[in-house]
Amino acid sequence: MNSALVTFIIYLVILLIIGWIAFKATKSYDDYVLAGRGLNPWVTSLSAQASDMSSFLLMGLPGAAYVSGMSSIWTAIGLTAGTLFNWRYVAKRLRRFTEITNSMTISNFLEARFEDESKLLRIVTSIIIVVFFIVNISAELVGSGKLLSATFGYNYNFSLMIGLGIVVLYTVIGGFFAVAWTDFFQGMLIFLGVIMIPLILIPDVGGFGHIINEMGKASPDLLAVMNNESGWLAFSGIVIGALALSIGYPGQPHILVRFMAIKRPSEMRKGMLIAMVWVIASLYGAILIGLIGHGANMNVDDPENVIVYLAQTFLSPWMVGVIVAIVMSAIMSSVSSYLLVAATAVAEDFFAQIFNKQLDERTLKIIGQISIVLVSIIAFLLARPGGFVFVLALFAWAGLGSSIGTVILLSLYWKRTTKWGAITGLIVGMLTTILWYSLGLSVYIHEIFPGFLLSMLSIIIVSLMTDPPSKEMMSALEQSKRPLQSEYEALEAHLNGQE
Amino acid sequence: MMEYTLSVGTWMWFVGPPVLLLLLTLYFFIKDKEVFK
Repeated sequence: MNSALVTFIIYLVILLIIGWIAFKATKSYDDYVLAGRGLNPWVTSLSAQASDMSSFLLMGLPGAAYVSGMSSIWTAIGLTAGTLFNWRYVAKRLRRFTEITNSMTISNFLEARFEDESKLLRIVTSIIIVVFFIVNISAELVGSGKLLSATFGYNYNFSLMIGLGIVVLYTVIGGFFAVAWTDFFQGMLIFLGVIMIPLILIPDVGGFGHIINEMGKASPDLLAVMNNESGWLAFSGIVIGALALSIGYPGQPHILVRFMAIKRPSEMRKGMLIAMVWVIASLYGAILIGLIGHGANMNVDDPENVIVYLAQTFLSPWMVGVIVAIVMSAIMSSVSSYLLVAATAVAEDFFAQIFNKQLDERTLKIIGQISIVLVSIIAFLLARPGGFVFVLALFAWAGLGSSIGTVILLSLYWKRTTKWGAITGLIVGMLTTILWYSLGLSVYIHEIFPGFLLSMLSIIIVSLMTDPPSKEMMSALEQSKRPLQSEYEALEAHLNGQE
Repeated sequence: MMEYTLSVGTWMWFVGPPVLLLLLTLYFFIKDKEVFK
């Protein structure tokens, strides 16, 4: 057995141990789906960021930086700005409001916010989540299949199964606790990786000046902030493409549930700071890795695998195992979160509603676990033919951002938003994204823009045409702007030294 | 053979945005401290 494989197996064993500890710590269904709302800011933050950043971080972004050079920084700006917006303007209000309404999932929250007793809102939300998350999971699986087969030489299907098998195992047994803590571990690993890899490799390839010189020789365009091909297409592709990523943030349920799980809303600012340091280091580290590829004087057949080629060329075999573990961390932390959110939607929003009776916690948990396995089997079947990872992932990002994102933003910030407004917004956003993408209009402008805009407009118009929400809901929304009673009590207990 | 280097503008482009966004985060971090007042 080669040493790269040994390091990689050690990594997988650590994940399973965390899963087992989480399994022991999980007492109730609330623990299973939201860790009993008891996460500290470090775990909340790194878990949110690690779930957010998928194979895109260490395969897609270095690949983009290799191909387009300095202009890939637009992407980093879009993602960083979106992250900051989400933490500062969505996280705390959402956390408080979901405590007031005792909601554990996004569809729960929307149902409570819009006082919907018809189940329609819940079902539409969960269909959107399940459809786009299955696309996301299979995109990540394609990434992991490519990575493991390129590194260890296994066949593609077997590679798919290794990555997926371990994630499914720890997600099924340990639920949210396992997902959040493995995310934390993986988040730390990614952080160390994106800092260490450029620090080790830049001197190895001959310094930053050498990299820049090689980039210029390959094409002076690589050193330009905007590629030479000017005009609307380049502008919409680079600048607007980056902005498109940022407006999708409030619609990503796997990130939003992290906000809902933090113990104290007042600690959100600490989470925001940790998240921003992490995200800036990670994105710029990833871009540097792509640029280093130019200085290394090696064959780059697939730009998305540039990190693996660099490791194989410059590092010892056991370090290659560490690098694969770091890239797999980015993939697995996202897949586990997608799986848990999609499975909770299937269990709570389909099964529990179809049987239309109060299921006990034990049954709900078992249905949740079966759903994780079902969702992963569908994603596996979709991933088998392989394909373009990032086009698909970006499409799912747009679909969620322009349906759930607009509804979440308006539900928190515009009291007048009504149930019918929200339902229309969800459907209009989803259909616009799918149609725009299928008609091939994405080459002119990314599908998230028309999706987001039309969804927003339709929510406003339909809300104004329907009856306003009840007085109780208006006052609950007002409450979520300020600290809750429970926060004052926690603060008092803290000051009295009881905690 | 021509040597390529980064212009000052590109350097600023590389370093500027993350520094500005981090400063903005710090500003929010400090501003949000007064939450219970």
